[in-house]
Amino acid sequence: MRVDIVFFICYLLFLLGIGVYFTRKASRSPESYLLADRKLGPAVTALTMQSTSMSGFMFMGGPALAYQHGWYAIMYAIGDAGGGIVNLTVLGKRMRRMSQLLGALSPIEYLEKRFESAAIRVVGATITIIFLFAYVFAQFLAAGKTLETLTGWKYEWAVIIGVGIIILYTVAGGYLAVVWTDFFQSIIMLLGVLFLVIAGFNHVGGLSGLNQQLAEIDPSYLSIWGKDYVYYGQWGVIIGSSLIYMIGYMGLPHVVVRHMSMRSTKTVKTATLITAIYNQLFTYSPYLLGFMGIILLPQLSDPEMVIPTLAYTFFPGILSAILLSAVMAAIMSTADSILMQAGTTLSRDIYQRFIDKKASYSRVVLISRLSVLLAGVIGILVAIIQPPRVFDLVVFAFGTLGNSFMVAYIASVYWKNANKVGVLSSMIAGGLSNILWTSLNWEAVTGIHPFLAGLIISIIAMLIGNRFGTPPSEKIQKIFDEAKGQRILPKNIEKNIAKDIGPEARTVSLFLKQVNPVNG
Amino acid sequence: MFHFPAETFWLVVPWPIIWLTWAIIVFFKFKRDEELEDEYVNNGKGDE
Repeated sequence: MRVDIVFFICYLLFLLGIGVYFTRKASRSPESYLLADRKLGPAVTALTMQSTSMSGFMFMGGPALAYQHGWYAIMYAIGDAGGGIVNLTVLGKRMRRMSQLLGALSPIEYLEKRFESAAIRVVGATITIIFLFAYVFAQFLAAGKTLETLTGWKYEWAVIIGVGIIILYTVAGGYLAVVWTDFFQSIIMLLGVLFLVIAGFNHVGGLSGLNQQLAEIDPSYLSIWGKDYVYYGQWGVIIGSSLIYMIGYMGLPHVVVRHMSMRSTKTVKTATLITAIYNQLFTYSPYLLGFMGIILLPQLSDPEMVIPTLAYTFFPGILSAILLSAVMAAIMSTADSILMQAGTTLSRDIYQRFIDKKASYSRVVLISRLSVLLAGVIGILVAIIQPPRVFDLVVFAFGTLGNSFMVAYIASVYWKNANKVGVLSSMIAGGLSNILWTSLNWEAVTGIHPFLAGLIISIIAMLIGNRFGTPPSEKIQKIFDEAKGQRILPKNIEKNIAKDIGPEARTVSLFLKQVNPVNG
Repeated sequence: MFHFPAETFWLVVPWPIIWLTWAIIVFFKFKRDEELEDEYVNNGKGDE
């Protein structure tokens, strides 16, 4: 048997082992199964967030774009490299605090409790189920096709083996298994791509040699406007390409749930630093390999296979063995998180919320496991049968989720008076505008990327809708203040007290805290 | 530099430095916030 297949099978068994290891721990309570008891440290939080965010697109779609358009494609990588940092900085601390104060175990439940509206949960769960399923089908399909191409297995068996392992460890170990497998998968992803980039640069003569040769083939490869300057002057497209990954992750329920599972708000600072280092090493590399493909593989028929073809043609042996696992790691680490989130939505947001409100702990865990299993089995069947209409949804999945939820999550922690009417309007308008912009190709007419259009429209809808709703209850306003983090006096005054007036003033401020605490 | 056209160079190359700087600033800002919060909590408990 080939060395890459042996390596990959060992890797699958290792992932399965993690699932089995966490089975008992995950069964203790719904909070254990769905949120790992909110006890994740910075390294796991950072790496699970990154590997969840970065799907098979990083090894297939991204490099294909780089192969076709040259340095224009790096705009996506620039956004991606900062996505996790922005996400943790903006939402991390406040969402961690608020989700615990609200007692929310799922990102949709969080929105319902924050905005005190069952309608938000119904609309949110509906959008989540439709588009997360579409997203997970795409990942399963990618898993099957990658395994089929790289191992020679029959497609159906490739799906059943590759996806079957994901389902098994997710059902058994729940969120704990998902985040810990993600942790190891992110390391494999980084190693696979870094080895290849270093070896690739040796072939093309470093970054200078790469650019020199690209310019000789076609100078437009070096511009940020795409091949043949096809996007010349279209700043709406260029900015949208970066924004979609720079801020879009803040709208993905399976990504923002990572804020809710951190050990404490103190986890955020180190997680941000780890994320920054990881992203700068990882995110640009697949695109660089796409550029190398233009030089080294000029006759490539399927640009999506540029990285595997590079690995198998120029670096056979252990490098290609690591690469097969790295490509699958990118797909699996996203697929398991989506699957887990789909299961959470089915069990917590639909079953426990609307069918059996008084379900016991053990019953909720059982239902969660069955939901993940059901979502996985449906996913396998769809990936094998490939009904035509279902895959039309995949095109909208990322953008629609991002545009539906991003404004809602940010408003939940930064706008005290944000209300349910505003949030519902922004969710519906943001999601719908992305679908229309993409399906009717309004990007070509307006020169504005669908994500940027959806973002602007959802913000406007939030501002208008908020005028028609009632302010949040006193209880929610109090929780909002607590989630912001209590300060004794407004920050600028506090700073000056500490600096200029000295410890005596601090005693006064402590006295004030007892009498009349101020949040700011 | 690196045979980039000037426009591409200035739109692409600074970003890794920008992101790393952002993360380092956030790290120290959050660290300072946490120390202040801990201090207040401890002082508050001491008074009670």
